[in-house]
Amino acid sequence: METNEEMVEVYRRLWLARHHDLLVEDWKLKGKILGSMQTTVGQEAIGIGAGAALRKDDFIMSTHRNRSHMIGKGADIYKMAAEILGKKTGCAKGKAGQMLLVDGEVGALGGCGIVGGGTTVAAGYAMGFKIQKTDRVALTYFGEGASSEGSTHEAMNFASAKKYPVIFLCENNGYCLTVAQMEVTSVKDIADRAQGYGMPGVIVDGTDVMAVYEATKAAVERARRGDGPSLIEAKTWRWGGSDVGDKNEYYPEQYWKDAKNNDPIIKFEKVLIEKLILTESQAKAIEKQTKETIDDAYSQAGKDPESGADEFWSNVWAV
Amino acid sequence: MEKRKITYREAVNQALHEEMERDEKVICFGEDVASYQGVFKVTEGLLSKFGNDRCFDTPIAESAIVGTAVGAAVTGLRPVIEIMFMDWIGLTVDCLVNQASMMHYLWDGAVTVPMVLRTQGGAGSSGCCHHTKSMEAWLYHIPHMKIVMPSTPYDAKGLLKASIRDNNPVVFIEQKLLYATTGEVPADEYLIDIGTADVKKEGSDVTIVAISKMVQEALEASNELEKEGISSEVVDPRTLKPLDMETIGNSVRKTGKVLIVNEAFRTGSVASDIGIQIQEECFDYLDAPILRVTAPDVQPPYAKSLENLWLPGKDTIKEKVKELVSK
Repeated sequence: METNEEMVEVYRRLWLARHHDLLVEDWKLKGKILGSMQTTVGQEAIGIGAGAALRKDDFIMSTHRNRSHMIGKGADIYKMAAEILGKKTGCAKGKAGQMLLVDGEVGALGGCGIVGGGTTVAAGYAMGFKIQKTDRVALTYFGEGASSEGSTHEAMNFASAKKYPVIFLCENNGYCLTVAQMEVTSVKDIADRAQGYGMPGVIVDGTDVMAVYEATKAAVERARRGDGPSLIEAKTWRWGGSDVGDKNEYYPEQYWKDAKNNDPIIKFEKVLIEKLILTESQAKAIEKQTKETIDDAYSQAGKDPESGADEFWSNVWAV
Repeated sequence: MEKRKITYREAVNQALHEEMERDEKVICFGEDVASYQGVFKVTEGLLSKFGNDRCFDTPIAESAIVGTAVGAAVTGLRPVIEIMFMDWIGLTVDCLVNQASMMHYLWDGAVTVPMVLRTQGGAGSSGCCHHTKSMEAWLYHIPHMKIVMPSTPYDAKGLLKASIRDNNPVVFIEQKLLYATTGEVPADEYLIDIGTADVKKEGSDVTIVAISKMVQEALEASNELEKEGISSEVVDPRTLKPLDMETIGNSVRKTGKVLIVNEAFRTGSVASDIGIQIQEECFDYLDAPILRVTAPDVQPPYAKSLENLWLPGKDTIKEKVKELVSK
């Protein structure tokens, strides 16, 4: 995010992620989308900011709450929409759905429905990059809930011992499923855990896209240099509950106040307007245009054919 | 063709050496596999020949060993990992069922996961329940993942080489009491197709389908039964998944009677599943109920006297074959 153009692109992606998840939430509630649905509304700055600090040939491992990660890595919006609608034109022809979204073309590999299930795999991406003597890096998103999973601890210890180029990016929205973090977690700041694994641990405002970008960039540079992994904890707020349909009645009033006072898009928009990078009307136009992109993708993909037996039986085994 | 007599351990070791020499993408990692060269010395010589980039020790973290192998495989490497004892496989199952075996199919070919998980099981050395069990049935339940379980040095070498070249996740299950057994292998390179069973001994009265070390027990039982005038055919599936039902079926259609021998807990065992597949495919040819010889649904105990009660073997096989012949 070194140029004005790159900053505007980040702003555009924030809106793409926002409009995307507002739409899928609406469609899910109307019964037009199957399965369970988790949204990234309120958390967009993390996936979009971190994604801007990565190269196309770097890999990300995402979570069940994955759209801003995917959009931040440059995943194809149309294929994502078609996948979520269970269509043949989807990124996995309707096999994967919203939770396991994937886009191999841009190294978005991929969504993951097992909490903490991706951290060891991401360490493996990094292992592969290092052994093959590339300067590529892997970044794994995980929540503060996944920070309690044994696999996450194994991944951090292993990666740090071997100096694998991986960034552990914890999105801390304060709720492990529906349980408040401090009821079930030994530390307030997940970044503190980094010390136990001999890696740097930093806390950033996860609703400040520039801060997420800068922290990720520093961790990526360290990884590319061969100095090993880092842990970034991005503090954020989850607007959409554990999943769509969860009415979040367990959130204290203050959580909502803080969440709404920390809208990552409004925050970044202020910066862009203050710096004269965008005018208010230009910002408004981007918001409108991204909504159209999402609306068009969903209305078009909705007309696409569904997969059938051929797709069901394809890639059962790798040849 | 020139042949050499080598041990099962040497056969696995040779396969690793040859494949790592052939393809620089093949790497080998796990607990104690590098400097110590494996607790059973199966990875002997790999570190000194291929260096620490391609053969290295890991933390004692089985879940991360499998997870990192999956990730590294996606980036283009061909990891061969070792889980030292199969009793610890429970620590890895999440990653096998939810990542390794999922990615190629559910991501519709966006990636491949060419990895081999080597491990070893088997009772008979008073290892007690954390160093003894054969847990292949847990993995057998997972789709998109091959399972190889060889019983001889020849099979072990040819099948491991094929497993390393396979583009799917493969679990390769060795047997601790087989490591010291010997057999002839060709001096020249050879591969064995995954998914092909082998008739280890021909016979006409009863088919014995036996897995891993139980093949040895079945052959001994078969030889002794022959002296009593009972002819039994011993079929070694060698690969549990995919299972070569053609070879098994041909034998069952010939003999009409079948015993399945599997050193594992009885309920939900691979033996149970092979039995139902035989029933589905060969029902009209069966002249007797399908019988199984397995371990009981009891944790394997330590003391020799107790472990012997747990472990299936030659005598039980003979008894069950006689029961089948009498029907």
